[in-house]
Amino acid sequence: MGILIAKWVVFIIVSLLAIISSVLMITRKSALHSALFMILTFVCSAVLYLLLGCQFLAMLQIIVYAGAVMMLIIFVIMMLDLKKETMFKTRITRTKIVGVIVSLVFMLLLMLMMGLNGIKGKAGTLASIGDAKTIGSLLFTHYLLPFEVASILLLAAMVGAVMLSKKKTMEGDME
Amino acid sequence: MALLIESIVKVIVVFGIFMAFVAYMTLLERKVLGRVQVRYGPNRVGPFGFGQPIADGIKAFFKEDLIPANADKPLFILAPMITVASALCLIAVIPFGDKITLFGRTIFLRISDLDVGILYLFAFASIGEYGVVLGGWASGNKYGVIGALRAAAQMISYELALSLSVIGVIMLSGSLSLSAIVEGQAHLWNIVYQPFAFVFYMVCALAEINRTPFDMPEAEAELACGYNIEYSSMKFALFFMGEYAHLVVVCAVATTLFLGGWQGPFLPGVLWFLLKTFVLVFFCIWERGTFPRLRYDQIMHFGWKILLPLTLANVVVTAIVMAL
Repeated sequence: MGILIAKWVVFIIVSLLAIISSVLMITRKSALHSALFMILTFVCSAVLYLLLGCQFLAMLQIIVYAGAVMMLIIFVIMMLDLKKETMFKTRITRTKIVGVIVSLVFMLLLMLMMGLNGIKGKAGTLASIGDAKTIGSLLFTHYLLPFEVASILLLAAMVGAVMLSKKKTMEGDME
Repeated sequence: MALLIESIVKVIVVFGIFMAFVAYMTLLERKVLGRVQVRYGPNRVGPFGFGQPIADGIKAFFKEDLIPANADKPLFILAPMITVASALCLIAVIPFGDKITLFGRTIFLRISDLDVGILYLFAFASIGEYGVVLGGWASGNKYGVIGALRAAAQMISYELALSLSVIGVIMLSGSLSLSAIVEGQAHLWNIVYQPFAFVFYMVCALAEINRTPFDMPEAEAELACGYNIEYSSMKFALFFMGEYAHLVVVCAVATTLFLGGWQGPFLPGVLWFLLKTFVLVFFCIWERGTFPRLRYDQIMHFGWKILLPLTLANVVVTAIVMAL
């Protein structure tokens, strides 16, 4: 019983922290601060995975998202050295209008789907899903085809990125 | 309740010994580097300079704490904390001995035995990198920013090879848990099966913790100390401590993964563990006195074009041998 209450307390604190940090992520003027709050959000979701008993997923969340991806983003932010003034414009541009419309539509769709189906299943531990062995065997048997297709897609994206960045120097060489 | 008390006692003892190890490692490094350069090293405070780490700590406390005017203040304060805290978190999953019986209780000599211990190590190591990167950026100093950029690029590059070099060990033991890996080495250490992986691991680990010959982020000669250029007083000491704590952890992990952890004849497990870790730490100091610093482009070429293919080949060869 005591453990259950402790879990609830941790859940409420962490989810509040996740919501606050994601709001702060959108509203910060400095791009680097936004990135840091994004890391905090990722770490909070990793803790939520841990509460569900998915250790493997939680660690991957931190390694891949909070570690590798965000490090790349911070690297780019520091590289470009964005100034606060240029980052924060109060002008209403076309992209902003489109962005607001798209996110509103997305939110409506989400609410519609939830209203239609409801959220089924009960909260609890999902130890069998967060296990490294289970994930590995499922990926290489039941979900083999999607797994391979996704890896080829990622490879194609990587080669594409290299090609795009390579193009300039090749033209320069020809001139 | 007894479990809680046991955990608290274990945490306090382990962290005390760990911090003492880290503090006296700074003295050892200065002594050994001194001997390498044919001089004595610190020998004024106490016999053989044994009071030197304590004197350094007290000195750092009483120094003036400066924060530059154009620094990003919250990040400037947060960065050294991230470095130290992540290094301290790392020690939690490393098994440092077999189980012992004390007051009728069986006590396992490790703070926590996670099923995904290795992944935990990688997760907190990648969090710890933000300390260096943010510290350099938040200083508002161009040398600091260059150091931070170098740190970020270097860590991204070498993290891949580091994780790949460990995969061979994971394949051999068939588990992500560190205590299972140590138990799997009861008869023969992993370094016999995976000699190349051990070399790759040590090289990548040195690069990850920004140690010579890969200490690009703080290259004194060109960046005037790089990421920690604006840091003074206790904040600088925290960065220093974090760096050495990471070094000790890296050596402890190498001991666990490749050198059989606490396993060994005659002596108790804890002593074996400390001894093996000490040998690796000594190696790290020794190589610092031996190798010159690499050039930045050489480090990047080495990481991506040599280490990454080699570690990948190691994984493939291990898989083939295991399948046969």
